Amino acid sequence: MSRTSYAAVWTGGGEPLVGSIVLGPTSLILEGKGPGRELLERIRYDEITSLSVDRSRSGRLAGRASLVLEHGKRLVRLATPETGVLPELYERLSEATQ
Amino acid sequence: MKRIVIATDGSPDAAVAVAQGLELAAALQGRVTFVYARTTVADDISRSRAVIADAMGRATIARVDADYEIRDGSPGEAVVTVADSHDADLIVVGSRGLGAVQGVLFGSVSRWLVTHCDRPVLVVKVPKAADVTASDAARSPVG
Repeated sequence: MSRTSYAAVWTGGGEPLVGSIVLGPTSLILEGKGPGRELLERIRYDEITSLSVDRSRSGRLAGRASLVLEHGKRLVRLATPETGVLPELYERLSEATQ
Repeated sequence: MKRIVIATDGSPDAAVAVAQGLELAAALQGRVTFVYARTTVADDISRSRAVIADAMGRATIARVDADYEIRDGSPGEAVVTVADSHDADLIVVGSRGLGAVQGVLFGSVSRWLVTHCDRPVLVVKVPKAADVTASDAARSPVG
């Protein structure tokens, strides 16, 4: 059985949130906490319009390369502290969004 | 796909706003984001999570896709921030929340939203219990 949950740091533009991401059946679920806020957000796979890995210095999140999702007018950048997981996430999200 | 932001604080008025917002979302095949603003130290983490868990449970029953955000600070500003971040089509709020005394002094959250928010705001009024049941609550669209 494929893994569905990963520890993650992510941001939709504000302060980074620390929590987890879950690859659900129809959407990516982001759950996290940051300064003065905690939230759960669902991003439907069919609304993700672009997906890329940013390894540039400015694109790093918590010192790690990030996965950048574009959906609607928003960009969400996420990274995982787990070594070697980002390519796996990219691949699985690419499949899910096709 | 319509995005409806529903403000909740666990008050009776907010419960009606949650119900009305979910009903609208289901009819429009839209989705919902619940917002809870923690305004005081006494407004503790466990309470905010319990209120949100209740709202999320109601969304599940209504078969509406839902997510949430809990923010520290002013309820009005929290709702506007979340609505902007999701480019929401509609905000639903009860006419009075738990901060009724604050409302008298500083203006209610619903009034603040109607005044300061550029997005459509639906202020859900809870009629007197003697008149109708909560499920028959009148709706006053604004914006």
